[in-house]
Amino acid sequence: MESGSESPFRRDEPVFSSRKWLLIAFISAFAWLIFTVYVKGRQMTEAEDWGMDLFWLVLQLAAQITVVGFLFHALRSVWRSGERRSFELIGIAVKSQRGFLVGITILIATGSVFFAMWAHEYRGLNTGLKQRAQAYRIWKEHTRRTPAPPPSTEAPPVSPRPPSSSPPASSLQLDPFAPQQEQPPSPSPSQP
Amino acid sequence: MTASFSSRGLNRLRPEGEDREASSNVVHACQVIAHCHLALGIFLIVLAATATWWIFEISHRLRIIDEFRLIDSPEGTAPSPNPDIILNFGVAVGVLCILNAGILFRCRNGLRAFTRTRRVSDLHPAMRRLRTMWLFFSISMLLITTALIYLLQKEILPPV
Repeated sequence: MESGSESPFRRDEPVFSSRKWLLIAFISAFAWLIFTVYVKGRQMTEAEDWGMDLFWLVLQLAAQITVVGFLFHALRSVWRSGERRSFELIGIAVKSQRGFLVGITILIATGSVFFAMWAHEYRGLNTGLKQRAQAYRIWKEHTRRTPAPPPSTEAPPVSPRPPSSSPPASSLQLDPFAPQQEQPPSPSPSQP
Repeated sequence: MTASFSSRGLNRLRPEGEDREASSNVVHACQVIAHCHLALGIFLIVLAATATWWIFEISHRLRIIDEFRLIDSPEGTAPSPNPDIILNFGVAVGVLCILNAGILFRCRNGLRAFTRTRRVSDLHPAMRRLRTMWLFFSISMLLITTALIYLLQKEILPPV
């Protein structure tokens, strides 16, 4: 390594050392990888059919492991470069970053496409949801304004059908990720 | 002529020979990495736009869902802080992406200046810029990863 055109090394020869910054980046990327496994694993245990989830998990993990591997390779080269003053080692350290940079560029490009798709999808859903919220508010205000009928002394006729009321907002399935609230059991119209 | 006798010019031509040519493997490595920096910078700008848009839509959705909750709940109920938290996170992601893209372009300019002249004196600022790039990139990555783990753990952000 130390032989070649640049030997013996001069004291003014530059050193490329970003060890701690690369180490921080590596730790962050590794934590991200572990957390992806945790989140996806939790999602898969909750889902009934996780064939597609497994596919996405494998794909995502493969991409992330590749990027983390490249980052580790870059970190190792930079570590060596920081120890000695050598153009050759600097060249290796700089060149070893290429894999990580290419990997993260591909990951970011793919992520951008997905983010744009999801954002577009969410936009359409949000428009519909907003209209429903406005209609619900108007209906709620209308029922508040209308005075309730005076309570009669006679008992109301028993109807086999349950009283028609608007479903609560929690049962509208607004958000698939929202926690489901337990509803009290209501009599079925088909029951006598 | 006066420019060549300036203190900066004299410093550049030290007897150790900082004006000498760097070895070809460093020049080639810097050439290769400069292209990667350009591509990554461009895609970081695209990510700043798309990720911020996506997070903004999630925040908007959570705000509408919170509106439903507020209609049903008694008066005086405070709105949920989650949409604002997510919105702030989206803005932070956008700003960090733009900042990193700017630093990457600056680093790329330094590397290209070195590859054009091939002088050791130009290698120093190029390596300094590369260090700065890694500094900002690692801190941004740490911040975003920490925020993502926090938001997903607290179930503020829906899992993708």
